[in-house]
Amino acid sequence: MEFEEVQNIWSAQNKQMPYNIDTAELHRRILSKKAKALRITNFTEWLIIMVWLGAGIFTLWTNTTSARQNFFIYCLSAWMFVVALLVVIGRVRRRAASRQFDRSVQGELQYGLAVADYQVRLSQLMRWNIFVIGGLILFGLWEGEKPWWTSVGVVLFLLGAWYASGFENRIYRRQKRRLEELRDLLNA
Amino acid sequence: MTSQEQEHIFRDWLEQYKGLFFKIVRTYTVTAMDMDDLFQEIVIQVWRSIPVWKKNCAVSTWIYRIAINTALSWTRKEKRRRQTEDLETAQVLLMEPVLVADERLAWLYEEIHQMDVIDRSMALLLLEGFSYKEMAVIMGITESNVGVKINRIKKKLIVRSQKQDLYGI
Repeated sequence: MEFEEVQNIWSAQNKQMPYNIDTAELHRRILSKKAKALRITNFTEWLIIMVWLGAGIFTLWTNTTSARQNFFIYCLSAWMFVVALLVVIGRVRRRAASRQFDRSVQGELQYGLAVADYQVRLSQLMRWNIFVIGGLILFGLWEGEKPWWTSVGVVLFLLGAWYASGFENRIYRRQKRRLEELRDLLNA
Repeated sequence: MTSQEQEHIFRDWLEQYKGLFFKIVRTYTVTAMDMDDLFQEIVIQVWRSIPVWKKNCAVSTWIYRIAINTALSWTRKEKRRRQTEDLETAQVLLMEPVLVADERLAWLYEEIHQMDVIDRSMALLLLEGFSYKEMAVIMGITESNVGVKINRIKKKLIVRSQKQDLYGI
């Protein structure tokens, strides 16, 4: 069989319509999916921002109103505000970039890779952030002369968080690897 | 752009290019459920793209670009996500009318399915009659790279078709 014949087989399907579309159902799904996608993304991002901001405000407020103020807890509050700000910046960047539709497959892959790389780096940063947060909390507990078992509890909790964040980081790395494979395939 | 205008353009594109959507969906999926899912995904992306369409390229090129990107992204996600929707209660979008099955076309789709996702996109564009230049723009690679890939795909299809001829299709 010559290639022209293969092309003819392909073109023959233009004469017949293999499917009918349920347009009413399609319209309903478009509207519902559009709203759902927007809701989930917005909710997740706002939740993260609010958690960091809320935790920052809470630690700042408890420290300010307590009789004995703790330097490390002030540092902890400031650090939490910085993290919330970083998430806000990430959100603004993501929203601006996601509005583009005129990308080629290569462009889309590069964008996907940039997003995946950002997620890997952010997740790694958040992982190391556990040390910063943990260190500040432990110093705060030490300065506040809290009982030793409180520190042990905090350390155990942070170890759990470290393990869970490693799991999350591996997921992002796998996603990035898949994109890199696809890019290599495209450029081969 | 008002939502009425967007709606109008969308209905127009859907009517005019539905054959194109079907072909892309069939190229990247196997099961009816997946076809439905990808079709929905592509249509949503095309709907969302209408306000930013700059009219500096043909509608078919624009739709292909969005559809192929969506299909590639869907293929990646599909590997790690399965449908959580209840299969029995799910309402399908694509209703298949009774048609005489074209064995040769089924063979061709089968061959395309066996290619990797990038070659699948290239084969689709090739069979749709896009020029190397247009393919290079859609895929974001050089024309010479397009040429190399297309030659490989053509050779593969010809060799496979000759083997298929032996079995009488």
